[in-house]
Amino acid sequence: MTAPDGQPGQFGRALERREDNRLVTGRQQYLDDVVVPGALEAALVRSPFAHARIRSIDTSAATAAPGVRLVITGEDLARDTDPIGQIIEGYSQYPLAVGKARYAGEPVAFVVADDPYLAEDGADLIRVDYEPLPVVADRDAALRGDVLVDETKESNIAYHEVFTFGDVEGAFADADHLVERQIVWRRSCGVPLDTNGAIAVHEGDGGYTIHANTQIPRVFNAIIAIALRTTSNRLRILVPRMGGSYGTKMNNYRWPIVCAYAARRTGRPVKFKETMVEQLEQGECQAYDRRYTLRAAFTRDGRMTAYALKLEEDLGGYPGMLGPAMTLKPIAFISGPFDVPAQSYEVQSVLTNKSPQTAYRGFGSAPHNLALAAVMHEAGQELGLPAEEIQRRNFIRPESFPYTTASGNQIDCGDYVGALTKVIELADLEGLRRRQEELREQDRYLGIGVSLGLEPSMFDYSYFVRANETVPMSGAPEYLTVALDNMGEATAFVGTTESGQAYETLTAQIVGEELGIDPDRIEVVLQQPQDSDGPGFGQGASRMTMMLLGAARGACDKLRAKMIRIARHALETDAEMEVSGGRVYVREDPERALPFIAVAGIAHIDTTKLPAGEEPGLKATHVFENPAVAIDTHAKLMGTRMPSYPAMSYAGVIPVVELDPGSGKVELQDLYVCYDCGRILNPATVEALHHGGIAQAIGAVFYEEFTYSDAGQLLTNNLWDYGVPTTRDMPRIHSTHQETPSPWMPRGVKGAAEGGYIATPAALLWAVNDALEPFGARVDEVPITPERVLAAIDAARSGSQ
Amino acid sequence: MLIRTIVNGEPVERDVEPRRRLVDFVRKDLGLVGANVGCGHGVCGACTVLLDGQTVKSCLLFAVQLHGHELTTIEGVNPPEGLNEVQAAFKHNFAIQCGYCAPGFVLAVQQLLARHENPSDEEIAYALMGNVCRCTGYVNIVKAVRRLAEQRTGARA
Repeated sequence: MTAPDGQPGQFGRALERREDNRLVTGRQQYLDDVVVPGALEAALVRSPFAHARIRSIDTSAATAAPGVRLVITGEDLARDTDPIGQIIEGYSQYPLAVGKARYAGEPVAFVVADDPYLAEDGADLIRVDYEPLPVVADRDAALRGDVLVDETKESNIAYHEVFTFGDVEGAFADADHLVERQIVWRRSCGVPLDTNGAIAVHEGDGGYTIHANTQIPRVFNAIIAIALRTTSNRLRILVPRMGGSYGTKMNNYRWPIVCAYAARRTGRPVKFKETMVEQLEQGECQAYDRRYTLRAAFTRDGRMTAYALKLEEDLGGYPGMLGPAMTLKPIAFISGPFDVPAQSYEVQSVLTNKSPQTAYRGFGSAPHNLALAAVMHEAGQELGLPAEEIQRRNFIRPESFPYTTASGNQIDCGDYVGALTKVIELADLEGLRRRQEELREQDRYLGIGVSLGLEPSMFDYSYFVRANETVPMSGAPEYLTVALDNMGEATAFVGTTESGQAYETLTAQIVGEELGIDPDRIEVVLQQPQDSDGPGFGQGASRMTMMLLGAARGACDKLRAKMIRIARHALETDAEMEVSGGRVYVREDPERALPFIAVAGIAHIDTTKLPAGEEPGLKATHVFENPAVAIDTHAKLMGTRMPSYPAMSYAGVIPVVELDPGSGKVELQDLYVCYDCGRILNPATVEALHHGGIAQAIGAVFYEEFTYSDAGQLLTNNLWDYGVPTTRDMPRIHSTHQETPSPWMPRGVKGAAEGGYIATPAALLWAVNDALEPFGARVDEVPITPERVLAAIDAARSGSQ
Repeated sequence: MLIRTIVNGEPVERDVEPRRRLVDFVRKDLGLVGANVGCGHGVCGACTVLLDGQTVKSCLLFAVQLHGHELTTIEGVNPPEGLNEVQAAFKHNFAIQCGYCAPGFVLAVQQLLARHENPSDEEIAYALMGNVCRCTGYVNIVKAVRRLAEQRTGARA
């Protein structure tokens, strides 16, 4: 923990978050706090129909209304901008509906006025003549294909691919025991409180300044530039700190485009920020909507020999940029922590008249883990094996790492038995089961879930664009710059957006560790895309600690080498030197030293003392590539656009629920978790990220659902009806961790930010079905509402299950 | 309409449109941007302010309803430098992540602790259920409140 010169190491140190000073005082600037003088504000007209031809739009009354400066419709954008290409080749979309609306709430017109009240008044005056069309309300309607969501296509199937690894049918033919199951995961998502928006200024000649709360502006700037028919270097995208994203704000490119276009048309800055209802309805907020058809083959003693999965994804009205990719990520770990020789993965994604999808924490992993755990649970029940035993029998053994999954993804390391054992001890599983027995005698129904799930981290781009070969993408580097100013004070520069992860604190801790100085003395700048010192993706796939550690090592190596050259020259020595504790010193004679201020002074303002040929200044950048790129098996995957996730975190989770069979209500009482995300830098922030993920898992499994009517109307378009968890929905959380350092990632760390959300749902479903076992019932659908629980009990009673 | 009110201890007199939401008045007219607009329909509490010392959701009130009443925003409880006790407890306990909900939580906790000097976990949960946080699962928020209450009552004992 302590470096030779007495500087404490940063690993394992719960350094407080410097960001909090701004956050708890309300001094943090979010998008809505950005003031651009003279900005106009906008309001929307949105389709009341899920599927309707737009015959005409009468904007005359709105245009003449007080304060209204401009009305834009889809026709304007179709004329003056280029469409947004989609992640599936051959599809496209405009930010406002063109010709027809494909989902209820799709933006149809954009009204720009002197203030948002007047803009709403103007929006009320717009008359749209709709011709309602038959609605493709769900997957099954989409597959019937008599009504097409995209009329330029021959069917509603936007993507279909079957991946087979090993002799799947042979394994099924030889199986002692088969499990067949359907699992449905209804739509939910991150629902950040800070909704999407943008404020755009047209600087003339195709140049724009755009303030936007968009998560990955270093990649999706391309979408905005292409749409606006300008060049990417003329877009100055300024991203303020965001009030939550959880992946959802990856998709905020619509408002930068529309606001920039409106700014060009009006000659004034234009601001738009969604209301929560708009956010929930219109395409930047909903995620996975899945039906799984699962088959698994087992031996008599509980070994899974084949796993065949069909995933049907309801993408909504447009393929979008992310929904299809989220169906592909789980190919990296089809059988999760289990060693299963034969596997197949079929994905069929359809278009329907619902909102399109955006990303959500884990990028498609949580439902996948849930489906797999449901199969394991059922097999255990039928073969008479307790939850922990059937999982143990199938776990990848610690000595098998690095382990190559069926699809060829190599997993760095793991000790699944260790993590499961640790959480079992923490929960006192035996004691819980005794209590369960005792309560059952009193007609009280406790349910205990025991499940270990994987959290893949450190992604590369290649599989994102599997369905669109016109886009060449692979790898995924990240940079970090470290600089010492003229007084020897350190500043680090990184290229990510921020939505709660405390990247300033994290970066200071990382650079403090590298340079051997106190993190509190290090300033951190999150650079805006145009100011970036290097390429980067920024936050996503729980990758930033790994990437910044790697980049910081490279940058600090360069900086240290230069400081040593300067110090040797100044001290007139050729001796080996070290940099730590704010000094550059001779290794064998630490008293012979120069403090940073002296070295930096030479580099900046006393430059005649530099060694001959040495460039003035003290600043170094390193671009760190995803380490998997250098591993042959992973490079091969990237070449074939298959998902590569080398750094595999995981968590064992034991929730305890009590079921009221009369009302169908499930009370989540306790949740025990043991997570392993490799070596841990800041244990307090890692634990806090797990808490947040667990809360979102509880939401997705018990409360949150974007419920659509048969007419395609979203019935849960507000936070009264869409049930995000509150303080009263949280169980007692008891957490512990183990550390299995990654052999491939810098300093042995792995991703940590998504695990709570990814691993928990499977355990929650397991717990509920454990509570339902005395009734011979089970639920196969999340969220597990009281209605669904009662329906399951009724179905079991009437013997139809 | 002309309204007379006291905002963070200072008298304020303004002419406001009857339909103007309190949150817009506070954020845009007064420039007190600590309160944030979240849901806009009274669930999330990101826009929480104190009206005569009681937490209210400023998205659900009109500015004119402020007439004759006293308003306190997060700016009104911020020390000129550093953090107040509740804010410091949030920081020490890693209670906040993105921070969008934080000003609302700080005010809700201050009001809770003004009424109950040592609330139970259940009382804390009940008092804060009108404030939504999507990042933290509330675990460390509740912990911060409990620790602060213990610290205060312990200090007096």
